[in-house]
Amino acid sequence: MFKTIRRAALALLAASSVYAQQRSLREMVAVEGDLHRFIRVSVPPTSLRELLGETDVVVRGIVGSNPVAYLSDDGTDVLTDYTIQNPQIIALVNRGTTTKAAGAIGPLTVTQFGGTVTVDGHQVSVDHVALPPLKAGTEAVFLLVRSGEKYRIVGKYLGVFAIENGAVATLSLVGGVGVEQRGKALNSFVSELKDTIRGLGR
Amino acid sequence: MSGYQFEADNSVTMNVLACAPKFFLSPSNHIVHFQPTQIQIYTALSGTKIRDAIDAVATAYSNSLSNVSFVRTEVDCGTGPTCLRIDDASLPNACAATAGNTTGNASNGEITGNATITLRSDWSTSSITPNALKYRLAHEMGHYLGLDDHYDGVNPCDPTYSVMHAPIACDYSPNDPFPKISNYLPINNTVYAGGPRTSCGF
Repeated sequence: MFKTIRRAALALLAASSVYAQQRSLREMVAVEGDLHRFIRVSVPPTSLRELLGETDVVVRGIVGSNPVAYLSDDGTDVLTDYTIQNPQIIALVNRGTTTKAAGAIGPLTVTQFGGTVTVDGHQVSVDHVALPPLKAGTEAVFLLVRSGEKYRIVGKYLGVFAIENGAVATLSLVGGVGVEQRGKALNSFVSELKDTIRGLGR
Repeated sequence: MSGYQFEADNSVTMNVLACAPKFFLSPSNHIVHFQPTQIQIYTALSGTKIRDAIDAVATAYSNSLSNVSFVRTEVDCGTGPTCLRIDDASLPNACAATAGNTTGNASNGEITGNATITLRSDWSTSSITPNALKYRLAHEMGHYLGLDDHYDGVNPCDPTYSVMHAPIACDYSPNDPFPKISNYLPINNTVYAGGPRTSCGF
């Protein structure tokens, strides 16, 4: 029951990228012209177990070039789609929503909050401070939740861990998960992920 | 202290802070901040709990800062650069969120409009004490005054000495929830007085 509530809450957050009574970016541009909008969140300490409890699939892959940014459906935020190249499924967590088997799969699309678009001739950049834009060529482990034909990062900002020189280098700037994992050898990190998933009974 | 020789018979002021300042920078590499004027705070949220908290934190910052002050208003102050709005929303994996506009690369870091603090909607429940609410407001307002988080493992600081500690539980309720000298001195000397953006040199 608790898991169901948590999943519903996460889905609500993912669907609603903005908050109460917020004006659309188009309305803001009409008043301010070019703008940079920052959005910060204060996240409580979050465990890897909590993140995996919301995860559909854990994937290792490389961020592709040419991300595509666009306005959110309600016009109050910018979303950016990244292609993840050479994805390897590390673990299927929620088998009810993911049908692919573990191993290599085709390119998949991950949507991240934030990005830069042109609205009515003005440049609009929305910066979700907690997770800087993904850089092409970055290899990372992604904790993903399915959203239609695409995927979103679990915890909105938390579930992405860059791999540098065989070790974890977190990308998110918030939450305790990243700090705990930073510098950990990739093999150890993957083992911890799988052990935690087993502990969740998945 | 080494590497510096003080001149004889000259007075020297040394400010010793418990926490190295961490500044919140815009894309143009300027410190994000409110204009140096009186900022109005408006909320449509009801009840004395939120109003008392806003008043207390506004007074604490106003008494500590030399170039900017805050006052709560019962009249909707709009979405301009001298208005800070406080609302609430369902934030399943966050305690609060801040959002505001600057003019991007052409910016000097000043907020140009649409500044909002969104509290997680459980702020009015008994699980969030009045001091927890004040701490949360003091933390989020700190971002609008140019302060970044004191992240665990990156630039940590005991929350006793800073309202910018992160991550921290949403119900964290210190005896003293107001900004500390580690918070307001860098604001006074660096954000609003052009001092060096370093961890030393105040």
